[in-house]
Amino acid sequence: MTGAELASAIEQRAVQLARASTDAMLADPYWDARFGPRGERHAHQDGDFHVSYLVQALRLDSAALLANYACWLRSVLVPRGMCSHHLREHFRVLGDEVHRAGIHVPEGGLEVLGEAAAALTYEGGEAGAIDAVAGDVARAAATRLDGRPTPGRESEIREWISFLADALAAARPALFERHVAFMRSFGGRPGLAPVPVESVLDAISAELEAAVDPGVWREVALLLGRAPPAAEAP
Amino acid sequence: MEASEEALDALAKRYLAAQLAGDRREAVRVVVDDGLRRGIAVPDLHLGVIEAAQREVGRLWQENRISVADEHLATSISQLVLSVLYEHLPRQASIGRQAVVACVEGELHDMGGRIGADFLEMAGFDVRFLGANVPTDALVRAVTERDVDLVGLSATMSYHVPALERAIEAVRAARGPTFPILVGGHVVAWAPELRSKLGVSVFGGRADDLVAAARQVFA
Repeated sequence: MTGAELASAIEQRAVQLARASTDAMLADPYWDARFGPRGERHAHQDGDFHVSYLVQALRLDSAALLANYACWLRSVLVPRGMCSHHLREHFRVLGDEVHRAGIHVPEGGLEVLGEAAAALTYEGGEAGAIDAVAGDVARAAATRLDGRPTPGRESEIREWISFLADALAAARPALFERHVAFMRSFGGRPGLAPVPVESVLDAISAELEAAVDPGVWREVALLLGRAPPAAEAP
Repeated sequence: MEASEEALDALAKRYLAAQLAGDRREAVRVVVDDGLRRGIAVPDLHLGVIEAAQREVGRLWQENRISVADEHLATSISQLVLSVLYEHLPRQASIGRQAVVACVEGELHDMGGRIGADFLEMAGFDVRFLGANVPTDALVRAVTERDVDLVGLSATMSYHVPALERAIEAVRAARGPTFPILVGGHVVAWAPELRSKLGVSVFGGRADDLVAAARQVFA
């Protein structure tokens, strides 16, 4: 099966794939709690666009197309309360749904989705330094919180770290602060033991401080509210 | 007069402020009184003021600093100012070539196509600008009813690539496989692979580069 044939097979099931991938995302109570019905409407529109751009990228054999779309969409969604991790997750789930729909995917046929997700990884600066250690930090912080790493907790910590990186990259601390404020009121995700936000921030802080350069940590600590107190005047 | 980058930036900032304030009179005044009447060339005003300000409007919307309504208001002001500037286009001598410029079916963003049409006209083409969302069959009729020498197609959103391909295919079916076709718009920047796939005469770039290349087709 060629890329163009895969594109056609996906296009024939575009509505179903967009709906399934978006519904899978929306099953997480986070979405309704944070964005309500308006968010659901926009999520479905985004799902339609993801499939449409995936089809075009496959048809043109253009990983750049989907990667450019991903980066552009991030610049739209992050200021509106989402984070890069959400977008990466939606791409991953969309790939899963293509397989689940029984569409024959040749070896590497959906690499464009992975490349688009990878394009969302920051390079350079504090955001890049954080993204480079995000996986290890999330695993370690999840273990610190629950005594063992669990996929759900790890994913939630990845989300926290992603908000942190996005806020640093955009130089807009409020993007992270809004997430902190929301998480203080959020009832939590099913299957995850409730943990106070302060404990989450402590766990992330401890692991990040150990994982990044002191210069990076100073900037990150400010956002996390973990900046060391200013030295007292003698 | 060739305007300095600083002068254009300063005008673009004032023009943007007028757009965001929804002040059409001030926007026209900035471009016409403080730009055109002070000797700044029309193409510089197109690219260095209007297009630059539109890019900034897009960025502000992306960053959730202005609403969709603000963006539409700003864009409608630019449409008005382009109309005013149209009266002042410095047209080179006619090269005896007719061009049709259109946004492909479904494409609603027509400002790039409109600026491209104005630049073609400045370069001596006789231009018909069909605007946004031109059905492919209507495009073909427009290209065949008159003795058109060139078609310019604009597509911004990548999901309009199939419509772009259909338009190119239909124009070629009507006018032959080597008929000159110029393609511009944001889609070009996102998917450079399109160049070889479409095999068109001129592909991408700024309006002035695009049009200079189009002129070369007939040199």
